[in-house]
Amino acid sequence: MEPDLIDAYVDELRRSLARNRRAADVVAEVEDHLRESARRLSGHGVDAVTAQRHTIDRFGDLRVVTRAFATDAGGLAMATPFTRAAGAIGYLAVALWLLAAAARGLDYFVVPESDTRMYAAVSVLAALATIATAVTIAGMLVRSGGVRGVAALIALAAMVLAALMMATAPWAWVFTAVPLTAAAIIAVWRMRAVGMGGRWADLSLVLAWPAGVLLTVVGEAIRIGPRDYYGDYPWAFLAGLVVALLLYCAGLVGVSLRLRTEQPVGEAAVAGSPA
Amino acid sequence: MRGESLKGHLDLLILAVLSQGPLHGYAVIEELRSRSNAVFDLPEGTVYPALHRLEKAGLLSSSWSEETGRRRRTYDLTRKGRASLVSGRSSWQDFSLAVSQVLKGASWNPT
Repeated sequence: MEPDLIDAYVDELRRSLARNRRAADVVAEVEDHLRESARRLSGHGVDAVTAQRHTIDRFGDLRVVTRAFATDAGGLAMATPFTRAAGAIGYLAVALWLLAAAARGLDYFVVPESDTRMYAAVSVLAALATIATAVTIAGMLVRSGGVRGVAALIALAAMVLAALMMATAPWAWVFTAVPLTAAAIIAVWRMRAVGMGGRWADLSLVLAWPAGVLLTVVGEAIRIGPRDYYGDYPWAFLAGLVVALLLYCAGLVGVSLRLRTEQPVGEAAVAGSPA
Repeated sequence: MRGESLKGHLDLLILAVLSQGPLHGYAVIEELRSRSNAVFDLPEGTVYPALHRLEKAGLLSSSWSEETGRRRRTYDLTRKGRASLVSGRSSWQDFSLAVSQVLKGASWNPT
C-alpha cells in the first residue's frame, strides 16, 4: 500500500503547532488545501503518490510553513501613518546623533575646562537622538507585523535602556552599544522576514556600534595619541565613535527612506472609502 | 518570483484577489498564480498566515463549511478591507508609475 504523504505532512504540522491555540483550524485548512490540490492533479492523470509529492513541494518546506504560522501572532505587516512618521523621525535622529557627536567633540577637545553645561548638552542631545531612533525602530517593528511579541518588546526595552544610559553617562557609549545593537538586530531581522530588508543599510545599522567598539579597543591597545588624566586614549574613543556614528546614521537613513517611501494603507483610507 | 520579493506586497495582492468575491485559500493561491501568469509563485503554505493576519486586522472575514467530508474555510473582504484595497492600489499605481519613469530615463513631472 502506498504511503499517504499528506497524512504524514499534516501530522507533523499538528505536532509542530502543538502550542498554538489555533492549531486545529490551521491543520484543517492546510489539509483541505493539500487534498484539493492533489485531487486536481490526479484529475489530470497524475498518479496519486506523485500528485501528493508535487502538492507538498508546492506548499513548502514544513519548517518554513510552521514558522510562518507561528510568527503571525503580530499585527498586519503593512505601511501605516506611524511607519511613515517613524521614517521622518529617523532623519531627525541622524541630525541629533551628529549634533551630539559634535558637542562631545567640543566638550573633550575644545573647551579647556570641564564644563557642566557642555556635558549636559551632550547628555540631552544623545538621549534625544536615542529616543528618536527608538521611534524609528518601533516603526520598523510595526511595518514588520507589530510591536507585540517577546522580540519586539526586548527591542523597545533595549532602546529605553539605551536612552537612560545616554542621558546619564554619554561618555560610556561603548556599553550603550550593547542595547543599541540588540534593538537593531531584532528590528532588521523582523523587516527582512517580511521582505523589507536592505542589504547595506541593514549591515550598517547592525554592525555600526560593534565596529566602533572594536576600533576603540584596538586604538587603546596600540595606544593611539596622548594618554589622558584617566589613563585612556581619547583619540581611540573618538575614532571608534566617529565610525560607529557614521555607520549608524547611514543605516538610519536607509531605513528611514524605506519607511518614508511607502504610502500607508490604514484607518484614514477606511474613513473616506466607498461603501 | 522569489517569495522574499513578494512578501512585502502579498497582503495587497490577496485583498485584490478577494475583491472579486469570496474564495477559499486554495482558490486565492490559484488566482494569484493565474492572474500573474505564474510569476507570483511562492510557497503556498506561506499565504495562509497572511490570510489569518488580514482577518485579524479586520480586512477579511472567514466562514467554515463542510466540503466532501472536509472542513473548508472561505474568506471574504470586509468593508475595511475594500477601503484598504482602494488606498493600497492607488499608492501602488503612483509608485509603479514613478519607478517606470525613472527606469525609462524620462523626466518625471508629478503634476
